[in-house]
Amino acid sequence: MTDVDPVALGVFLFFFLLVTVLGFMAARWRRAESLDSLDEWGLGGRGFGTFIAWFLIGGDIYTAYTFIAVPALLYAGSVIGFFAVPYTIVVYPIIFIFLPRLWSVSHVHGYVTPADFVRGRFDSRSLALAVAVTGILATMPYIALQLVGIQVVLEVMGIGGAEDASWFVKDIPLFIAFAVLAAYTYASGLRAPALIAFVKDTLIYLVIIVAVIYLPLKLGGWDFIFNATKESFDAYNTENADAIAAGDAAGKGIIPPPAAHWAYASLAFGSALALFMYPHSLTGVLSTKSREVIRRNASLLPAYSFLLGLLALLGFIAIAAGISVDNPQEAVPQLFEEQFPGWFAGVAFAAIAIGALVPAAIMSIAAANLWTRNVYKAFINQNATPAQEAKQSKLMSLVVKFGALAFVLWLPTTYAINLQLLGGVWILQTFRRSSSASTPAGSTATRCSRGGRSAWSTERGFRTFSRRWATRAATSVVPWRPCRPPTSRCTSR
Amino acid sequence: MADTPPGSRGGTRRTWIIVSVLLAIPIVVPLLVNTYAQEGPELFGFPFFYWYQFFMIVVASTLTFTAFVLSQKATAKDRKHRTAARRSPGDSPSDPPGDSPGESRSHRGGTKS
Repeated sequence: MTDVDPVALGVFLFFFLLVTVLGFMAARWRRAESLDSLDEWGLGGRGFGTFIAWFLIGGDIYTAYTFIAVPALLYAGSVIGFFAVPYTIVVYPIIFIFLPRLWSVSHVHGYVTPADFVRGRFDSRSLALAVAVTGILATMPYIALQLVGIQVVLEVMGIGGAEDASWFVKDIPLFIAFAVLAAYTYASGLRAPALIAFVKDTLIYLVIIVAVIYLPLKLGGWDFIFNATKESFDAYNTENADAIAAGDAAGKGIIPPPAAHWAYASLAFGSALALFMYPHSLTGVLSTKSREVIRRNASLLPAYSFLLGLLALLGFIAIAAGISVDNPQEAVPQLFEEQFPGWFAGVAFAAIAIGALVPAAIMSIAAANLWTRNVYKAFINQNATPAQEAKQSKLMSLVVKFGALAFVLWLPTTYAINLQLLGGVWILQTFRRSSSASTPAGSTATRCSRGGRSAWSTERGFRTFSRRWATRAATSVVPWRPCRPPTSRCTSR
Repeated sequence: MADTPPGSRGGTRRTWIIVSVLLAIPIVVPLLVNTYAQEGPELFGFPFFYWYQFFMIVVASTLTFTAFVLSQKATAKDRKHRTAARRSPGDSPSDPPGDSPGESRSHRGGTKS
């Protein structure tokens, strides 16, 4: 694992350079008169059609963390991780129903952030501020998760530095990746991730399709993969029968036991409701040019769900291929390194790392827009010009990324999943039942930090309260009454 | 809209109901985990639990796309109807002022307070 494969590294660097160039060139893509307004910098000109939106929203929903964490859960024997598939089935009809409406309202009033919407709906600057602050805070650990995704890839490639190197030397490659990301997000705004998303998804589709055709052929078919996984889990269950009976360990299996059925369903449903409460999900949606784009994409985006399902199964393939790693998150990268020639492993690593850059960029833009619209413009400089707004957002996008980097460096990454948990806890605070909901959140976090069944119970814990929070938010959005008459009906078409 | 008499809006009410059903299916069916958490019957070596969920992605996508096509047609019809109604006031109750376009197109009544 410490040996660096020069071919894999070369291919990886090639793609990284390619997206860097694309990121900076994006400033001139679909050229606007200037990037000095939030509509241009922060929402890509609000003119993305079906094709671009498909990649961009896909980049929002299917982050590097999904690509690493979901197969890791299956590898570790938590079949419940496959909930990501029903989740990404259920989410699209929900998008179809709610988001075109949100889009219309936002378009008519020129809203850029979810907090803008809250301010318009409830006519309260302070509530909007609360939504904005929790949104920014919750986004930072989420960006940090993306950086962890990159870190995992770097480690497997062997360029994470030696074990005994200082933390600084060890993380230099991460710093570089991060600085480059910050620079082109600053320069190009939302156009950068929109353009890079093409490369990201082309690579990911390519890698996954090759992997799920080639690996089963090589290993002896899906039959063999599922059987080998089952045998491995059964062996584990027999070996640890006492601990499982005592509740100290979780049993493994490839089909969820009846007791987990509703957990599985509620994870899927809760995640679907929660998704569009994150500021960055809305950024992608608001950058589209019409309601039709959103509705059409609701029926086209499930192509990613198929991909995600196949990707999740890589966790089982890793077991069947005899991959043995202490950190389940390294299972898939390790699988690519052991089973494929160096150049293809390089492509796969690049796909995962670039898959982290796209959402990280969108998230930092979303958080920056929240700052500008709902803190800076609402409280500090009420007469800010569009150019001043854009300037604020650009600077804030850097601040947010440094915040995320701080999370990665100061929190042990083995607790990575807690980063997502933190976001859920914080973002929840804007809603009334926050005090009662945050208590189980805290205790789940503590329990999970001790390891063991972490993935399962943390995921479950997180989804449960994010669901609670999402339901509250959803019910308050549905009976929408505009506070002011829309300026023009025609502009919303 | 709750105050809209049935059969108005150029007769798109029925279409909107069909759209709702088409969208409700992919929301509800994947959540009924006990209907598919089983190993058999297998398909191409995949246990039922897995291939069924992949199959559902395709079904859900098809239903949502059908809903999209239907909603496009109904929206166009609604718009035509509304324009006609606006030209001859009193012919049909038009939308209350200040209503968002999304609202006026929505058939899911009863949510407005």
